[in-house]
Amino acid sequence: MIHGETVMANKKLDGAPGANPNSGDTSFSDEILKLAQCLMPVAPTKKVKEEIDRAEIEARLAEASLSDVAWRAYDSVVGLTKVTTNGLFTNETVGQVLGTSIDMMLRWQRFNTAVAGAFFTALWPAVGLPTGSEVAQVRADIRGLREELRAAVIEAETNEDYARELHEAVRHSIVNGSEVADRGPSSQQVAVWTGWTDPQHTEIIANVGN
Amino acid sequence: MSAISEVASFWMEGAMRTIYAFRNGFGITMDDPEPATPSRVVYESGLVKLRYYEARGTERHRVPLLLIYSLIKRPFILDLQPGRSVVEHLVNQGFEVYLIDWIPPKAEDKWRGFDAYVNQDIANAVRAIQIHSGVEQISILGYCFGALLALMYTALHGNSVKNLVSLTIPLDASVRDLPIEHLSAAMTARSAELIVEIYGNAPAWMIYSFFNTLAPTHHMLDKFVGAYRSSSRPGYVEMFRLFERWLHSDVPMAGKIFLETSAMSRDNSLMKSELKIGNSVVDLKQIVAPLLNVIGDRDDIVNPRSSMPLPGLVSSADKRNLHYPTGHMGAAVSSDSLKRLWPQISTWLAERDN
Repeated sequence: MIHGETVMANKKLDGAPGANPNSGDTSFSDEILKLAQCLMPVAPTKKVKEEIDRAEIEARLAEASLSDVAWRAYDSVVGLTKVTTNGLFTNETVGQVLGTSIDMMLRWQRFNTAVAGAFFTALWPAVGLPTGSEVAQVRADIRGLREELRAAVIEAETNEDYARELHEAVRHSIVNGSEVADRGPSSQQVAVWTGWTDPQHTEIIANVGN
Repeated sequence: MSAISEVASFWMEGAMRTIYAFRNGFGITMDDPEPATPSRVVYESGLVKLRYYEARGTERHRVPLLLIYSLIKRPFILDLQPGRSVVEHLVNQGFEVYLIDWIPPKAEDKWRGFDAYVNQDIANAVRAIQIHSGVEQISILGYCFGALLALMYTALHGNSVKNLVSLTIPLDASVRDLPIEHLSAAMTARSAELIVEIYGNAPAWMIYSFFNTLAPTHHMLDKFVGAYRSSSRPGYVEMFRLFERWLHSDVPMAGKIFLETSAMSRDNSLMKSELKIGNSVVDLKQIVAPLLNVIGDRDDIVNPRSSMPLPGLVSSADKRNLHYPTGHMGAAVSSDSLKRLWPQISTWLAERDN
C-alpha cells in the first residue's frame, strides 16, 4: 500500500522525487484554462486588443520565452490527463467494468492453466517424453545412487588402507621376526575391523550422504 | 533536442529497470542498496529478520523503538540515504532502533495470515527485543500497512507496548474519495480468491501494476521529465534513482493475509473492532498505551480521513492526531519531513521514555 507521490517539477521540490500524481488540487476547467493561456498569449480579436493594455501585452510577450510556454503547456496537458484519469477511477461504472474485467481475466487464466496442465500431462507420455515429476524423481534417484556410491568408495578405500597396513605388518613380522613380540595381539586389530568400533570409521559412516 | 534526449535517457533507464524487475521478481531478490545506517541482525525466525541500529550520542533513551513497515515493499525506504533516513534521525536522537525486515513469502508461505504475522512474527520479534535490550515494554512505530499490524499487535498484546506511533494508517475503509480506494473497491472477493487460487501468494508484479495504474501518465512519462527538469539540483538524480529502485521493490503478499486484508477492507472490520485474529477479536478499546497518530494531509495513497478516527477508537488517555502537510512517501523521505515532522515524533517519544 505504499507507492510514489509526485510534486510537479516546476514547483519547489522538497519531497520525494516521484510524488503526488493524484493530488486533486486542480480541476478539469482549471487545466483547460491554463492550456488556453499557454496557446493563446495574445488576445485574438481587435475588440479584445483594445480592451487590454498594449504595454502589458508587449511586456508579457517579452518575458515569455518559447521554452517557458512549452513547459507550461506540457504541465497543463499532464494535469489534464491526471484529472481525467482520476475522474475515470472514481466513476462507479468504470469501477464495475474494471472489476468484471479483472474477474474475467482471472477466470480465463485459471481455465488456461488447468487445460494446459491436463493437455501436457496426457501428451508427454503419449510421445514418450517424461513429465516434470518423472524427471524430478529420476534426479532424486540419481542423488541417492551418488550417495551410495560415495559410501561404497569410502568403505573400499578404508578396506584398502587396512589391507595395506595388514600386509605391511605381516611382511614386517616375517622380515623382523623378533620385533613382533613387542606389538599387541593381532586379535585387537580384528575387533576394529569387524565391529567398526574405531571412532574414526564410525564417524565416516555417519557423514556419508550429507 | 538536448531536453528530449535527456528525458529519453531517463525514460530508457526506467524502462530497463522495469523489465529487469518483471524478469527477476521485483523485491523478492532482496537486493537492497547499501544502507545509510549500519545495523546487524539480532533475530531471525519465520518471515522476520530483526535488525538492530545502535543509538548514537551521549543521551540515550531507555525504551527501544521497533519500526514495523509494510509487507509489500522493501523497507530500505526508511534508511535511504545519509540525510534522508528516518532510522538515522532516530538513532541520532538516542533511540535504540529495531526494524522488522520482512522476508518475502515463498509459495509454501501462502498459509500465513494476520495470526502468523501478528501473533507469531511480531510477537517473537518483540520478545527478542525484550531479551536483547533488557526492558519489558517497547515503543512501536508502524508505517501504513505496518501501522495496521502494529495496531493489531498492541490491541492483543498491549502489556508489551509502552508507546504507539501510527504513520499514515489506512484504518477506515469506508472512506472512498481517492482513486486508489475506488480501484481497490473494484476488486471483488471472488477476484481475490481467484488470485490466491492461481498464484498462491499475491504476486509482486500484480501489486506493482496496481499502483502504477493509479497514475499512468506520471509513471510512464512525467517522473522522467521531472528528473530532467530537476537534474541540476545537487544529489537529485541519485535520490531519484534510489527512489525508483524502491518503487520496483514490490514483494509478494502471502495468500491468506491478502484474502484477510481484502475482506477487512470490504467489511471495515478493524475499524468496527470485529476483526478476528486467531482466537481473539481485535478490540481497539483494549489499547491504553499513549498514541500518536501521524497523518499526511497531502497523502493520495492513504486518505487522511481514513486515519483520523483512530484516537477516538482507543482507550488511551494520552492520544492525539498529528497533521503534517506531506504526502504518503514524503513523510519518510522528504527533507522537509525529516527536518520538521520527525523531530516532533522523536520528541513525543522522548517525553514518554520514563
